[in-house]
Amino acid sequence: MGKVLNSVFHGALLAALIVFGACKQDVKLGKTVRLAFAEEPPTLNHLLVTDQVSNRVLGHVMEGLTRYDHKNRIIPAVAEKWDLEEKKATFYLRKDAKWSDGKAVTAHDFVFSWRKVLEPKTASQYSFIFYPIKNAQKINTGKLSSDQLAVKALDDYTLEVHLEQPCPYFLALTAFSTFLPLREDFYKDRGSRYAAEASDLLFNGPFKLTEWKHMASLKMEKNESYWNKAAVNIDVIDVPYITPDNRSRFNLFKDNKIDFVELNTETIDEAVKGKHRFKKFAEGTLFYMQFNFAKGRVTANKNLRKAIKLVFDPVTFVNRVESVPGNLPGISIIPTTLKGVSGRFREEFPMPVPKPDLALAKKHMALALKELGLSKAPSIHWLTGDNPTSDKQSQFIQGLLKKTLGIELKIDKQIFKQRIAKMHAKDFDIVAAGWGPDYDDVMTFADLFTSWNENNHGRYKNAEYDQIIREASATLDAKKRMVLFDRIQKIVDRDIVALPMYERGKVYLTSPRIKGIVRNPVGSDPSFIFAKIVE
Amino acid sequence: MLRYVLKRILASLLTIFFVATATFFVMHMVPGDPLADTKATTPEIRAQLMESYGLDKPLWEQYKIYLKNMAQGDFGVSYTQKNRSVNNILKEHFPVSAILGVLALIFATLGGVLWGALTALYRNKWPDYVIMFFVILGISVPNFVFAGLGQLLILKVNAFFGYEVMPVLGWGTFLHMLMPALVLGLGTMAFLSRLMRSSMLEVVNTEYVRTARSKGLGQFRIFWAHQLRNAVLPIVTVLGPQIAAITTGGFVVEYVFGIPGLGRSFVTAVHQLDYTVIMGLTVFYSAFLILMIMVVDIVYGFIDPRIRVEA
Repeated sequence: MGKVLNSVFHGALLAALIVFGACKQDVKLGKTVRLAFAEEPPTLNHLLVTDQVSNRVLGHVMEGLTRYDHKNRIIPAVAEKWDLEEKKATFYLRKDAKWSDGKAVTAHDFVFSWRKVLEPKTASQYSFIFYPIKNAQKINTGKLSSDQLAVKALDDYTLEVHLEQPCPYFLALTAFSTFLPLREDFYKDRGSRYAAEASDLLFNGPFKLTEWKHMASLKMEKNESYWNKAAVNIDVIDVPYITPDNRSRFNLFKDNKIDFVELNTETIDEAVKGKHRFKKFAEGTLFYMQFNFAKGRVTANKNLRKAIKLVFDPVTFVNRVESVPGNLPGISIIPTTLKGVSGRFREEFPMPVPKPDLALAKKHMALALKELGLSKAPSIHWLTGDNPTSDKQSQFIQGLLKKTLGIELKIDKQIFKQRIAKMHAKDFDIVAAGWGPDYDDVMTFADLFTSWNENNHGRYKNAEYDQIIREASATLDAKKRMVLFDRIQKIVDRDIVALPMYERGKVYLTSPRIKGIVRNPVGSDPSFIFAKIVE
Repeated sequence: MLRYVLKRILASLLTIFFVATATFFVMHMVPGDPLADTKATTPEIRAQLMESYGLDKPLWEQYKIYLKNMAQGDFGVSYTQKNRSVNNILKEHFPVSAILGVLALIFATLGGVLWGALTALYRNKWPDYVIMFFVILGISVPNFVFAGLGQLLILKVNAFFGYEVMPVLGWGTFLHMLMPALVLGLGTMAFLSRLMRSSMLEVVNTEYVRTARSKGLGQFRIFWAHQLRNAVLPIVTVLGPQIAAITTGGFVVEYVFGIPGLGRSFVTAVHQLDYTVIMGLTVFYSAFLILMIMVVDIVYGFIDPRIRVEA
């Protein structure tokens, strides 16, 4: 009996020790921002980066010729000033921009980096974004060697770039992470280990990566070598949690363990109940139905597409199906976030909100059936992704089409790689596609359906469309270009090349102790570079 | 004995070879490839990408190259985490899963033996029914339910005490490991309880137990020295596969509790069709599983002299 009592006592003591041992004093946070990432950055080698999480880190620890300010405008970064001519751009680098090892950032670092991106061996998936530069495409397709790239370091601090043709958005491109500089000696020294760990990278941005425990955590600290360190008010960006679970991240925010969290349909209701004040942000991605124009596909029939367009109401869609505040109805192939001549493109060139018309839709459907030689409505192969959001959307559209037009929608759910494979193989009638902006110019969406764009999975071909894009690529006149793009959005609407569904909005919560978090539809997002702690 | 061990090692190597081959070819049969991404590339660029990664060679050639590298311990570099070698991934994430797994196994074994023995001792009385009810729950309810409930419990406890008694997610201290290990071990604990119970009941009617009782030995002494030791044997047999399953799996627990383990790497790799990581982790997993089974078989021979496996 005594022995039992003894064990119980020891057990209780152990429990008490555990409980009190965990009792931490409230740690003074200071100028630290705490975050949780949904994923581990797959790579921090800017030559190879394609995803959002890696871009987010790079946006804080690296810097290119230009960057975005707190109002998403292009401002000088490593380049102090520049001269832009029709087919030439000259950048004058500041002399106090330094790498984290103290050495200066020079024009040679940009030349080396940009040549590396285009070398076929590098296998960069964003090399295409360099094609406005003279010889870039030839180098990337193996026809020229990389030293033929029309980018020269006139001296240590002057960079001269020659373009294939006038490129009005070239300046915006220079803020993109693939255009970052790279130190040749460091890269060669690290070889295949470049960017594998925090110590295998050099940093020239406002922060440097000091810790990186793969899939577990990472930490960025203020970079004392940064030329503008006086303007940076945050000392540490700490990411102690990396978890894909939405609910876990929300719990961490509720527990005051992190200062920022994005909400989704699971967690929004809870946030509303908990009376959290959330913020909205139009994130820039457009989701649309992409039709297959191949011969033999029912979707190649214009009357069929017209019928589908006339029964689909994007306003109902965003309000009932994906009722996340911040989602906008899909009205045009050009989303609202892109800028036009001086303001927003969609404000300068508005498109009417589609009004469903069931009677007219049925008329077009009857015509379609006659033209296709069918006695009843066909079944349609709907290719989509594998997540709760696409499930809800697919089911809504399936119900809608069955009820109004008698169309049987066969939902083909595929996980990521398999969906991509099917899209490339054109194995679909309609694919629920999404597209995000690569740079802040309407062209990134407008050229989606040119006959040469590989992302035109439906293989829509229109000589007029192609010609408009060629014209818009060849002129620097902003007004002229936007008028041309307006014609594009109207063609897409008239020909029903694709049917916009919704523009994704994000809903998020921030801790009251931090102000100045910047959200950016293009580039590194969210950005804490201009943030301030207000305790 | 030595001949036996050598034969087992040879058989194991052969098995690993077959597993690697089967995985390689099945993996390549899945539509899609590691280089395909949302933004499509021109056919020329794609051809170049394929060439850089050696994916343009005929399948048999790729297979031979892969085997040659594998024999030298080179599992290649990840397609998605582009500067990390598979060996590096294994080195960093396996210990995490291993520690979690060992802890889960300790809970499972201690718990399983304890509950199983109790139910056998008090069979058909109320402790038996209560424990068996929870055992059935433990076997039938999937891991992810317990993981979610476990995390919720931590939140409630933290809220109740007003400070962080246990961390909600992450890895690093013993307190981080407690709940995940418990959740991970629950299923196995339930299974082992069942096993222990039947095993104990078998042993209770054997001659040596009846002899011990007729000798007048105390109940506890019989339980400890005779019943328990023999009843534990079937548990040792299943421990081998259970160790491997717990240590390298546990994806859901790793996901919910944000633990940087091998399970998460593995599932992510399959999702991304990351060929090198899939192959590396599969070969590693099978080698580990086979090793554990072999170790247990050999240990079993030492524990139970009746069942010493002859060459």
